[in-house]
Amino acid sequence: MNCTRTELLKQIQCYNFAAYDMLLYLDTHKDDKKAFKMFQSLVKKTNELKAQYEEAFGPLSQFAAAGQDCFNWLDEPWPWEKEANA
Amino acid sequence: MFSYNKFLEFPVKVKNPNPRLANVVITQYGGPNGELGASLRYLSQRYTMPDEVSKGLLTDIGTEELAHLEIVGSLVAQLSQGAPPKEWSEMGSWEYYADNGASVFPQNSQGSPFNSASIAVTGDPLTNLYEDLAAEAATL
Repeated sequence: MNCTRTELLKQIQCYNFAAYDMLLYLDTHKDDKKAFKMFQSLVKKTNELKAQYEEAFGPLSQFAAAGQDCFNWLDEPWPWEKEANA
Repeated sequence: MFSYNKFLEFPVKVKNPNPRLANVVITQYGGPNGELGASLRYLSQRYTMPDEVSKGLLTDIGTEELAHLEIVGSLVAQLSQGAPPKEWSEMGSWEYYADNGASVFPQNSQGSPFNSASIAVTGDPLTNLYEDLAAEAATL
């Protein structure tokens, strides 16, 4: 797949957002099997996209930095900077 | 424990810096109904919640509020960044600039620093949840 960094990031943000919303729903509906399945699938997709991003553009979490060739956790841009959301 | 994800929950990209607007938006960061209060409200209330649903729910909502805090902080930072000092004075935000420069300080839009008196953590589960409902309604 050939995505730019920000395109891929936007996809991660979409799936991450949806997955977290399903988590909050499940907190009050823990026996909803359909919702749990959807939660599982959203988290799976989020993790796949994150792995794809990290392989191409660097770590998204501190410990994911351990899976990189060198310690590039500090690489800019940081999330609050405009360049990170360009 | 908490750990960090190196991306915003929702993207923030400000095209035109505007320190006056930054001074208004900042209340959503550290004002009485802002995200700092929201995260502390949920995360502090949860210690006395009686059952697994409310303990889990308040933990997960409080955690998401921290992500919201970062979104609003990014918004204020980008609105402030790159604005020339002349603009800070002409647009009426020089009082803020005098103390904080172009940084993001937890305060309301009138300059009062964050005050935990704007949240209630009562020890009573129902009172806590009513407080949460009221606080959420204030931000809609």
